[in-house]
Amino acid sequence: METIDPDVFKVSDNEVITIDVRKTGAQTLFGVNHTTFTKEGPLTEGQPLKITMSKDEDMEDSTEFPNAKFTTVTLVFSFDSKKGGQYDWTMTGSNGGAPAQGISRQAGSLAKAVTFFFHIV
Amino acid sequence: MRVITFTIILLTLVFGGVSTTYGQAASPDLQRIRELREEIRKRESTQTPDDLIELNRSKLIERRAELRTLLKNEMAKVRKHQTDMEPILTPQETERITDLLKTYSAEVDRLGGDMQRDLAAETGGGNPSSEAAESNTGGSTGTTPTPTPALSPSSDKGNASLDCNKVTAEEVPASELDQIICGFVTAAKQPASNSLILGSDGRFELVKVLIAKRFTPDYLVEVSEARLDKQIGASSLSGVSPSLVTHGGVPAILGFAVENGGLERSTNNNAITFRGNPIGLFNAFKNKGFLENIKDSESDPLQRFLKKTSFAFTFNTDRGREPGTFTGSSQQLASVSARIELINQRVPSLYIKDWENFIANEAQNLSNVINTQVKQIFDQRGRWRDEAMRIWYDQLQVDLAAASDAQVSGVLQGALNKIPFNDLSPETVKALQSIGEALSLYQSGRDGFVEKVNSGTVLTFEYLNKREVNDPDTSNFMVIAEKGTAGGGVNFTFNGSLTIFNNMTSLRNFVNANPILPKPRRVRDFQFAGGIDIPFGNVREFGQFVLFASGKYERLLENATTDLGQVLPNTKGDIAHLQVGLKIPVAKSGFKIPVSVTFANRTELIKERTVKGNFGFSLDLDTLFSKFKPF
Repeated sequence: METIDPDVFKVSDNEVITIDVRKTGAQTLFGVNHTTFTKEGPLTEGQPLKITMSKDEDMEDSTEFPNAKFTTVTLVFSFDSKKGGQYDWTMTGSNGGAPAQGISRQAGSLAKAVTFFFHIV
Repeated sequence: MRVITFTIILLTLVFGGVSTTYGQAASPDLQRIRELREEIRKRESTQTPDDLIELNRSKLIERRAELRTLLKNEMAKVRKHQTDMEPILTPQETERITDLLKTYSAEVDRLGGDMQRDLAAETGGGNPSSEAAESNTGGSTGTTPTPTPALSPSSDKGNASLDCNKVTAEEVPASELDQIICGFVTAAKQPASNSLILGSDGRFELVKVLIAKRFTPDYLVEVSEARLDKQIGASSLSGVSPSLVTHGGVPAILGFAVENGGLERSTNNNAITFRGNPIGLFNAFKNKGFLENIKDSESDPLQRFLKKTSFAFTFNTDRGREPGTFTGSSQQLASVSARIELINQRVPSLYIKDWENFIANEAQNLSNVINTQVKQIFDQRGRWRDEAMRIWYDQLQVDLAAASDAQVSGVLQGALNKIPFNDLSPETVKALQSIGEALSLYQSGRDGFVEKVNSGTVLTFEYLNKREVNDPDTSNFMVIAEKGTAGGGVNFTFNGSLTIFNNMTSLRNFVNANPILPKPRRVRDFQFAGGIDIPFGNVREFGQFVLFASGKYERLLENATTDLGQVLPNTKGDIAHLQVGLKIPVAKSGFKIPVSVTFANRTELIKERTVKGNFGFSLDLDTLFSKFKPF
């Protein structure tokens, strides 16, 4: 996995991406949702999300790399606390490369979200 | 033998190389710094074709901004290491740290200068050009963006009309949009930042701002206030409170209230009540910030228990050597109380099923919609598809990089006020609409969950020791129950209490001197009270009003005593009160003025109907303390 831009990654075909989300900050019930090209649903606290990036799936063509495919993965973070909630996430690729990290701090009561852009080469 | 020797040498080389490599493994940040330096060097040195100049320049701005941020992070880490290790650092290490900081600082300054110079450069001679330079930015729209004019820091430093310190401390009503903007300000003000990177959740936060500006939906632009569950004033039994009903709940740090007028007696007293929590008070004196205070108590069972308790001291300023002046002397101390929460069903963890239902439905829907629509707003490199947004964003980065710490909030707020929400493409507008609808459903779902939590029951036990001047001191044991409605706005409260005399000696002496009076008993009275609070009003414009009504029944089992300690005969009996009132907010100040009228069939001393009016003001010091010790 290679980071091209913030939250934009180049990955290899069939590389497994692992996303680990932890709840930090003020006390809040764990509420993280995900949507990928093949599946969706709430995450279970303590269980990292694993996604196999396969070019065989129905995806659009990448405009950045020849013969590559493009897809997105979205995480939504919810907070039941009034303020101070926070989620930390870490993403790694099974083929190595520097991990990506991020923090989502609560600002108001609405959800926060991050979308990752993947180019599968 | 040779094979063995060769194998040993080979293994040594392999594992030695691996361990060397392991020992040299850089942190992700340092690795990224190296990658960025290499990329910037290549972009600067390569002769860029004319039709790619603009794109290359835009990328250079982003890469330099990101590198500056990472370098400042490294500087912060080095400084922290220096502080932590100061007593044991060798002179060589200190010298190395100083050199490192100088090098990083010089590079940060150079990058800043390069950014500003590059963007202000005129056309021609290989410099970034503002003439017709088309670029292929990809994307399904197939549009060819018009050339972006050269950017330089704008002279307008913006206007920080929103006081984010007050919004964060909840001192002023704030909308979701206000909190999103203040979230940006907080992120931009982090050490080694001064940029607004689109990464992580920044993209979606800007999408929310666009939705708010373009469509002004209520859930983003309307404000909301905290709920009712806080007792600030004196307990209804302390003798100096105008309230018939005592509310449950435990504030975290000292609360302060001044009230004028009493209801239990015919005299007029001034009361100052301090109510606090042991943990909050202890941490306050440990010089910690307010938020750290709350986080510490969650992990320790003893602290979690103590968090459910509170204490209060009520001073009667009419007593003592200087009547009318608050001296805080023991003479003015009218009552001391302690309170513990027995049941608190207003805790989110009791409603896990409702939360999971909300996450599986409204939250999941939001995730699916965002994942689909985000590609209409951003291209495959995560850049804005809209030309207007690209220009706006690039200018903001330049302005933030040039801003001092004090200017960041104003620059950011000024830029967000100028976001070009009317110049967006139809595809972007349609995508924003879809996301906006999903956000609205999300907010409704979350509101439903919060209202269910807030309607839970709170049961509190309070002990009040009332200190009299001439009357016998009394102890009161009270149970306070509170419940909200399903909508979460209306709050019902019920109190039941029993009062006993602490010391019977003075009573017995008086009765012995007046044989016509019956023998006194330990139990003085029991009471029941119920009340309702109904909030209403436009919170943003005037603050939240609260209409309240309550009734109280008291059975006086013993004859009442006067201020001079005299027992008045034939004063036993039933006393009924009815009170209606209004809490009037002083807009955006945190002050509320309670005004009420109370009807009673009699007082404790006089068997005649009475009608009394009361007013006062209350202030919660939690918000003030948060302001003075932010994070």
